[in-house]
Parts: sequence; C-alpha cells; structure tokens
Amino acid sequence: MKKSDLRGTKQVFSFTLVQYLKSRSTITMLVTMFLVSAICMVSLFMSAGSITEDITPENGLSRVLLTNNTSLDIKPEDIASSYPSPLDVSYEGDTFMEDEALVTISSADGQNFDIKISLSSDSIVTDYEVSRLTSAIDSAVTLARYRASGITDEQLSVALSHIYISDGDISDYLNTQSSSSTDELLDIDNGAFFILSYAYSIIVLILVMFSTSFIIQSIVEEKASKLVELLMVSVKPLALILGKILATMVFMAAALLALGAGMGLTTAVMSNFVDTSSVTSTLASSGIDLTLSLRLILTLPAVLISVVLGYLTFSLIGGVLGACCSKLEDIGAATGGVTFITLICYLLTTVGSTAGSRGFVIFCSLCPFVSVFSAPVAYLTGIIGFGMLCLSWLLQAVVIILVTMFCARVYGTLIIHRGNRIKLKALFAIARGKE
Amino acid sequence: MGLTVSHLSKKYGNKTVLDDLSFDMRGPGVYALLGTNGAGKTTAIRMMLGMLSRDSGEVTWNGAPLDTATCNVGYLAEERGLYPKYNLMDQLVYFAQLRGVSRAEAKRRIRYWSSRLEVDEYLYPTKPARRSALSKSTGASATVALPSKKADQLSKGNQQKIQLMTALLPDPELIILDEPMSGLDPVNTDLFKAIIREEIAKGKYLIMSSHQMATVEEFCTDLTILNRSKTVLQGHLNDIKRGYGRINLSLKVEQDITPFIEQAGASILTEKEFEYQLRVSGESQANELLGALIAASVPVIRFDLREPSLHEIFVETVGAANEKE
Repeated sequence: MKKSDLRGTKQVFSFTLVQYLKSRSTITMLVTMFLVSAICMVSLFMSAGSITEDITPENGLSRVLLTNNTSLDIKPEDIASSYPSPLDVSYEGDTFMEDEALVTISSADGQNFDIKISLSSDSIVTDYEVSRLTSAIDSAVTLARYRASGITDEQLSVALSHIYISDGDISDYLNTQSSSSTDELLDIDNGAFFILSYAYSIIVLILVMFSTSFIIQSIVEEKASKLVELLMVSVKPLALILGKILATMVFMAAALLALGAGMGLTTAVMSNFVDTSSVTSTLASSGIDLTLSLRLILTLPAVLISVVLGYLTFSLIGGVLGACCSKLEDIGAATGGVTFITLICYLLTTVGSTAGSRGFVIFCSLCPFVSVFSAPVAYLTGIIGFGMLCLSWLLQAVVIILVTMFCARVYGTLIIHRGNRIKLKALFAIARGKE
Repeated sequence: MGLTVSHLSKKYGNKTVLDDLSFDMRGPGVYALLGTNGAGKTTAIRMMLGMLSRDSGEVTWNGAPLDTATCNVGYLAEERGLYPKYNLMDQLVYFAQLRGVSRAEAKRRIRYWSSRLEVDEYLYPTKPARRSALSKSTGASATVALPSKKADQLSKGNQQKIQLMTALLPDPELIILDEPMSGLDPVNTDLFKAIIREEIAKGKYLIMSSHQMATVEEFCTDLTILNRSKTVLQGHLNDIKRGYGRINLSLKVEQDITPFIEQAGASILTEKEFEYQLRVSGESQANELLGALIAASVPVIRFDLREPSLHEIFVETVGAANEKE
C-alpha cells in the first residue's frame, strides 16, 4: 500500500457527501429521523407528565393523619422524608378529605406491628401512592424501633449509611491509583450498565447497518453503471472506497445529530409545559444520574474513537462484500452478509449485559468487531479501565489495518469484476494472487 | 520517447489473455489496436493504465512508468457509464477534479466542450421566465437557468458525448479511445471524427481500439492486430499496405468479361451487372487484363487498382492466423 493509493480520496469524499445531501431520499431520511426523535420525546414527556399529574397534591395524596397505638415514638417527619413527594403528616386533624389517608399503627405484643391505611369512599389516592406510603411508614417504624433500643440519631446515621460494593482487577486498581480524581465516578451499578449497553448497542447497530448498506449500494451502483473503469484512470480503488466510507460516516454523523437535535429541541420545548423531573428520577433510579451523565460527557471522545474504529471495520467489510457484486440484485446478499456479522456482535454484547458476567463483558470489550458495541459502555460504567479501553482500540486498529491491506489486495480486481457474485473462497484466492 | 509498451503478458490460471504485446509511439498521431472480440485489446488497455496487474512487461511514458502522475491520460472506456441519477454538471466537475483540474477551470472547459459536442441544452437547460409587466410591454423574452439534466434523461448518443467530454476535460496528452464510435449515428460519428482530427492536430497521442476498420483507417498511422491474445500483424499502415501491393481491382464494363479475367489469371471476388471486384497478383497482371480488354474493343467505364483496405488486411491476417492454429 503506497501513499499514491490514497490520491483522490478527498474528491471522492466530497462528491459522495454532496450527492447524499442532494438526494431526496437521504434528505427525507434526515427529516424523518428528526421528526421521529421529536415525537418519541413528546410521547415520553406526555406519559411522564401524566404520572406527575397523578401524584400532584391537587388530585393525589397530600395529607396523612396518623394514629399511633404503640409505645414507639413514630415521628411524622420520618414518614414525610421517606415519601418521594411533599406530604403533610400529622397526629391530629378533624377533617378527612378525598386526598387524605388515615394511618393506624398498632401492636398487640409490642414486637409485631400492624399498619392500617384507610381512605375515604370517594378517595382519589391511587394504589401506587398507597404502596409508596406503606414503604415510607415501614421505614419510619423501623427507625422508631431502633430509637426505642437506645440508639441515637447519629449512631443510626452511621449504622444505616449505604454500602457500595464493587469488584475490579489489578489494571482497574492501577488505573484508579493513577487517576484518583475519577474514583467516585466508577461507582455505578449493573442496572446502569444494562440500560446504557442496550441503548448504545442499538444506536451502533442502526449506525452500522445503515452505513454499510449505503456503502454497498453506492459501490454496486457504480459497478452496475459501468463507471468504474472511467474512475480508475484517475483514482485508485482504495481511495475510491475510503472516500465513500468517510463520506458515509459524516452523513451518518449528521443523521445522529438530527436525531439528537430532535430530542434536544423537544426536551427544551416540552420542559416549559410538563414536569420532566419524573423522567430524570426514573433514569436516576436505574443508576443513570447526573454523575453518570457528567462522566458520559467526559468520556465522549473515548466513545467516539470506539465508534469510529468499529464503523471503519464494518464499512471496509461492507465495501469488500459490495465489490464482490456486479448487479443491483446482489445488493441484498452483500447487505445480508454484513447484517449477519453485525447482529452476531450485537447479540454477544446483549448476552453479556443481560448475564452481567464481568469476564464476558471484558472479553466482548477486547474482541474486535464486538468491542464497538461493548467497550465504550464497559468503560463508562467503570467495568474496564482506560488501559483496557486502549487495548481494545489497539486490537480494533490492528484488525482495520489487516482488513485495509486485504482490501488493497482484492479491491482492484473486484471492482472491475463483472459476472456472478464472488464467493468467499474465490475472494481469498484473489488475495493470494491466484485469480 | 513517447509511449513504449514492452512485453505485456497476462494469464488467468492457464488461460493466456495477452501474450507478449510490445509497441511504441514515438510521436503524436493515432495508434490502432485491432483485434477480434476477446483478442485482448481491452485487457491490454487496462494493463497499460494499471487497472489490471501485469504478469510481465512494462509501460513507459517519456521513459517513466505510465501513471496519472507521469502522464495526463484521457480514457473513453468500452464499457461506458455515468451516474444515472446524478446531475451531469456535478459528475463532469467531479471527473475533472479527480484529474487535478480546478473547479473553475473545469466549468470553463465544460462550457467549451458542451458547445463543441452540442450538448448545451442538457448541461445548461433553461426555461422561459414568467413574463413580467416590463417584458410584456417591451416584448422581450427572458429565460431562467435550470440545474443540468440527469444522465438517464439523455439518449445513448448524447450520453456517449458526455463520456467523450470526461475523457477530454483534463486536456490529456495521451488519449485512449476504446470503440469510440460504436452506437453513434452518422451525424455524431462525423462530429467525433472531427474532434479526433482536432486532437491529432493539437499534437496529442491517441490509441484507438475499434472494430470499425474504415474509421480507424482514416486516422491511424501505425497498428497492431491481435488475435487470440497474440500479435499477428504490426507496423506502419502504409508499409503494411505496400507489402501487400496493389491487388484489388475494381472494374466496370458493359458486357461479360469473365473469359478475359480467366485468361489473365485474376480471380473474381464479386460481380454485379458487369461491375467486377477482382483480386490480381499485382500491377502487371492488372495491366495485362486492361490491355486485353482494349485490344478486344471492350469499353472500360472504370478501372481502379488499389492496395487492400485495412478491413481486408485484418480479415486476411486473422483468417490466416486461425488457419495456422
């Protein structure tokens, strides 16, 4: 492979990108992505808004009247603080309205406790709120029992403080030693990994499948239009494919930006009309909180590097498979080949995140082809360290170089080939110079 | 200097597709690469341009290996195509830019060639502007420029003109035309011929591959005839013709002269209403026949003794080579 093999890449890149942006079908795709993402966010906020609406004090649980028939000192503020929404809890009250609940706590033997929640016949309090109230009262009774045993609030605070458990290998330990500032950011549970892995791998799956299909179509159309010979006087085959790959990458980035813009714009507009805090709290309860979001921003370059490397790997394979075809009818077969490989990698990642096996996730993060789906999320959630991520990149880069060298050997022959689709065996024979 | 092709060979497995092709072009002009279908012409061109790997041999331009970096090449491929759904102007600018021509210069050259090849209406289409009050009162007509057409909106002949334009846009030193006139109507054939003549006059080197022998004969000075991957005839066209001698006699009389022809030892190729195409051994045999006709007071309307045409040389050479095999 020589430097001159890449001459013309810039022109191929510009032309391909401009034609993407001039094509009605691709413009329609961008607009559709923008609209779909906007509509998705609207529906998300509408449903979140309806939950918020259900628990607002105007038509949900706003006050609890407490009757304590036990010897325990059950504090109303303990119940209020354990309840997720503002709640007025008191021992006294002469009214019993539709948005109130009467809670009676009793104990026959001083050891077992009964909690009875009574609502008015025309109550608007939902089962969901009753379940949250039960949980809050349970916490308050537990605290009262600890206090009755002579434990002070300070001792309770120490005794009940949350314990975070995580495991890691020596490379993680060494990495955290060298970057102690990110120590606290590594504490993310498996729920976050599962959700992020699921969401991220679907985005990568869509990205890879769309882009390889664009590349394959572009190559086969060029071959079917009998243009290749004309082009090859001016540009080497490797430059031809690289130009297309890079242009498709930029176009797909634009498509993702359209997706992000649709979501961002809708969020900005919707937040003026509906309460978005429930979406945030739902994500936070799964471990995707502000800390993780901050980490996501900090690690965005690392994620992008992984995505670009993965994209290049799959695109080069798509390019070779596309060049094996001469007729437009063969596009399906070539696209099917890439789709098969991509789906296998995606499924491996999904199995890894579902099983929650640390070893398997590390394997997926290091294995080229699969690592694009797995490594960035594993790094983001602290399952692998930066050193491991770099190793993953290195392995991906090696595969890309090997695939590029293979491309350089076969692409010139493939691109002027006419006739039946070239099979894998023949492809390797070409690479060995035997065909 | 110029173009030198030395010992080009190519095999696919056990099948030889080009066997030891060598020729050179020492000065501007047209070199014809002729052959039957599958003889190896297109393979030779692809190998010269580096599209196909060579098993052996080399191609140099002014002493350096032929490459787009060392030689500005224009190529009209046998398999011609354009992006069917892309705007023609975009495509032409793209092809020119790939050859290092700036966008502005490419547009200038496209303007020239579109006019020369009579395809302005596809590259610079217009429509009448909506008539304003002013134009209504003055009677003046205005037009609005539209984007250029797409390739699939053009006839095959016009697409071929655009393809020739792509070959000529970089203002190449070496122009390779593979079957340039195939599928063209007589008017466009003449237009292509005129452009080829202009390029020759500019001092360009042209390699032309064609089955249309009459067309090639009009332009070429040197040639190679390939048959089944091998070179069967090569040299300067006039020398080759001279080697065959004046052996084609066209004779028009007003009566049957078959006995005179048999007596002179010439052979009849075709005969139609006392118009004979004869093969003679040379000028002396032809003159002997003419003398006999005059002596017998046979009126001779036409007597035309000439060298064989390229078509005849080609058929004879290839036929002889096939017989030998």
